[in-house]
Amino acid sequence: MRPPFPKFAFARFTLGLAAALLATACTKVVDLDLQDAAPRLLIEGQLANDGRPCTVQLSRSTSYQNPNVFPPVVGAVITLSDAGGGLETLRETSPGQYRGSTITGQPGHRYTLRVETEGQSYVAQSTMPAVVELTGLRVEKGFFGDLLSWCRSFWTRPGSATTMYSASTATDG
Amino acid sequence: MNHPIEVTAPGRRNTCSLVVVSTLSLLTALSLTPARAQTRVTLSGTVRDTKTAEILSGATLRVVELPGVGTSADAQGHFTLTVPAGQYTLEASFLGYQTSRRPVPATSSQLLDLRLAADGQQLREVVVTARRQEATISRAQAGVETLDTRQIAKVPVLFGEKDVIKTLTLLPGVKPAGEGSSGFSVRGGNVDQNLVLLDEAPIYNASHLLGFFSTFNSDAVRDLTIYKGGMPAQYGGRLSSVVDVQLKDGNAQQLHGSGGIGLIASRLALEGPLVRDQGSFIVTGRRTYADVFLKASPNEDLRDARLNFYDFTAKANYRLGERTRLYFSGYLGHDVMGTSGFGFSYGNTTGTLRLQHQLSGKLASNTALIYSKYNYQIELNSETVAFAIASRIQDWNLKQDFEWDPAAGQKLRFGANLIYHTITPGRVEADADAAINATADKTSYALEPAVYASHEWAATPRLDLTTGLRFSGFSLLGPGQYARFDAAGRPLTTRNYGAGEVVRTYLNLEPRLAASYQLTPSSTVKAGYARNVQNLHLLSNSLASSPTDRYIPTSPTVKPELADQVSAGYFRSLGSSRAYTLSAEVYYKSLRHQIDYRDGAALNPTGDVEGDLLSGRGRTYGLELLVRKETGRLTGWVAYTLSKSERQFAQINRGAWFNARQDRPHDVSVVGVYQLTPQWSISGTFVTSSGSPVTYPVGKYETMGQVVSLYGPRNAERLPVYRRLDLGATFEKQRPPGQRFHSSWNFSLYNALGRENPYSINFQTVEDDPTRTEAVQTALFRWIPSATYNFNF
Repeated sequence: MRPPFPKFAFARFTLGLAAALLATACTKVVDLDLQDAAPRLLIEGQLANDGRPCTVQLSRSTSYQNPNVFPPVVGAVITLSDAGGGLETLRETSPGQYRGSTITGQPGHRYTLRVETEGQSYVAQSTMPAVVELTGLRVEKGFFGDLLSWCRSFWTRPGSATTMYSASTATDG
Repeated sequence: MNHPIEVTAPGRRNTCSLVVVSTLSLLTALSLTPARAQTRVTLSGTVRDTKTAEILSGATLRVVELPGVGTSADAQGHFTLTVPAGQYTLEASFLGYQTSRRPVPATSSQLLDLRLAADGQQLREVVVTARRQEATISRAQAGVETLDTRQIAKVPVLFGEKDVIKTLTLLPGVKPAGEGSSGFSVRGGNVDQNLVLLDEAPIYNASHLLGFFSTFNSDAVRDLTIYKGGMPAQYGGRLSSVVDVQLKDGNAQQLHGSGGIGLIASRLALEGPLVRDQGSFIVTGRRTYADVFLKASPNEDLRDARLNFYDFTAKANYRLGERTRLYFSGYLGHDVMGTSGFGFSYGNTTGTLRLQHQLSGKLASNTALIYSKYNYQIELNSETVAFAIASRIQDWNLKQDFEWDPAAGQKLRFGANLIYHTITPGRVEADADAAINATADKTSYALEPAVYASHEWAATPRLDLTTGLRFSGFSLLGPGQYARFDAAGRPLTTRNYGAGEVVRTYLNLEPRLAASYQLTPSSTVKAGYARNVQNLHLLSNSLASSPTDRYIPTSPTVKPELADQVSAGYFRSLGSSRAYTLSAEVYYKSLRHQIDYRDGAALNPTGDVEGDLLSGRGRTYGLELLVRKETGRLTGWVAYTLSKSERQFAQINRGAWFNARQDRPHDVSVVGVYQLTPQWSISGTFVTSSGSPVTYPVGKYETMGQVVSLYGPRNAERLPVYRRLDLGATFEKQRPPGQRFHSSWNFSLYNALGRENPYSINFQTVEDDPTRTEAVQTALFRWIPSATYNFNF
């Protein structure tokens, strides 16, 4: 039996393509008077079952017109705990970059991340899901000329149907 | 009566009592007319064009000897007058026709066949006028506009194709959904809240070529009436407007043809008698060839691209007897676009079979069987991938209407109809080993019955009242699987329903009221109230309507949309010869059970969506000003709309009111046609409006190495102001006497100012500098010239 695979999201085909053919569409870069929201804190943490410790980045959002430089948030107190036992405080390795040392990711374990900065504290909890093994991969080329190719991956889906997966593709050259 | 009555299955028990209520209210209205001892006779009949026998709906009739006694011919050209027995002169008049007077010895009730001759000279001068002047003053309804195809012929439009829908958007309160779009918003409503009828059959997607053309071939259209408020009770099913398009009946005397050859489309129409004076027909066809230009493209894929449409309209009528006439109307439209391996097609199909029968001088009956279908199909075919997505919405509608003239100055319309809907959302059909999984059939079935009664009453010579009541239902039927959801959109319980099993029934009462009071012979004030209910909902994420937008029916989760509108207006004619008419109208509309996607919902044309939908409310209000000049060498109008349209959802924008997508507070249209010489006329259209509301980023952040925009409050910003000038010129060759062939040239220039009106603005990373982001604006259509050669014989 073929392994079941998750449905690809149906891509809405760009009808604008046809519109652009029909019309003399023209594009230009415009200067807009954009409002600026107060800078927001962004907390991004990674923990995987790859044997490496937890890493956390703290940065702030910036004005849309500014270059892509996101101010790091320094001096935060960050702790990571494992419901199965274990607690550690992450160390700031460079401005805004924090890193643990002892706790590593184990499928089925529940982790709590706690961040304290500028008088506010933020808490997030997550259970690491079971590993999903890739059972097959197929790439089919040649669609719309060379505009589109299909990359089909096959894996066995464990557990409930509501689990979401993120697949990343990258082209080399 | 202010709240919808919701009844769960089987839900038929309330029907009888409510019908009694509506009948009672009508009887009360009738008893208000004092009984008169004098013998009264009824004069009824039809008004037609002398030459073509085409019916003249909206023609005005007046009894010269009895001031204040008059009426206008209805959509079928039919009229009824009740007068005391006596000797009278009946005057019939219609814009563009010579007024005719005829002595009528009214000793007994009789059927009259009135014919009016077209006024050739006047015809040329009144190209951009409506039959408003008389009708506006005498009808109770406010918020009604009628466009005649002859009027729009010289208004310049995109690609030179005269288009009733595009011209409609130049009227106050009617706004196009986007550049070049056939979708439109009426008084702040959504684009799906317009009931577009083609000879009574609903059109679900009134656009060709992604909206650059409307569905209607103007050669086949006699006229278009839009009700923006105070809709008569015979119409129902959409919240914001009724657009009633009537096809021509065809020339009953002689075979005639007309056609046009344009840059990207050509059309041909033939009309004539089926049997002389017994029946007539008209057939029209249209085909575009936009893809011919793609053959010149340097890109190989584009050279193979297909991009075209055709449509075919036919109507025939035949007199079965002295008092009976049978009508058939049909429409078939088909759009195709695609490249090698990819095909996308969509289209509408409609058919109307109608039997008109004059039961007596005072009672007329219309029985109609109406079919309407809209479908689209997407096909992907390559060596390795093959699948198709198909979607369809189909209606069968059986309708019975009566028109009864019980006494002088009174008219009663009543009737019932039953619609059977079949709605199949996009369904993926694929082989077992295709890259995309086939999806289950999610077809919904529903029954939509309605009964209505409407009473038009000239209460005093100056006061006209139209009261109406519509009682509508909607039953979602099995087979199918329907779920109930919690506040976060997660399914709680799911139930399978068997074939024909009632999933849920909703019942609603829709009161309608319109009143007009004539202040002076040239000025009138009007007021109206209408409730409308909508049970089919369009899920759309973009401002412009896309052919793949999805309709969903009312269900246990999705409630019927409701709108209550109050409006008032002042109408007056100005100038010595009443060359100008002025109207000012205000309205307030409250919308309930409006639908929007949850923030962050994945747009999904095929699967279950109900869990991703939110229910909220809306409010729209505004002022509409219109000045028209109807006669003379210069004709046209100036329209200004000041309006607001907002929505409120608990889960969007932190529960605060936000601007609806179609909210454009200021909107100005100027339309002018000037008869330069007997051969040449020039025309111009100028449109300007506030930009559409948009949500701009208020910042950005970085996650997983990607720069992501941080968006501000929903629709808090606006695109720049929209501005466009279109120019046109028409050359009509003088027809030598006795020659049938007649031709004209039409030239137009769309967006003559060449302004880059923003169609969309995208926020993206600068291509050659990934450290920066930029806003990129896309504009469509600058200086689009076109030329069309028109002929008729």
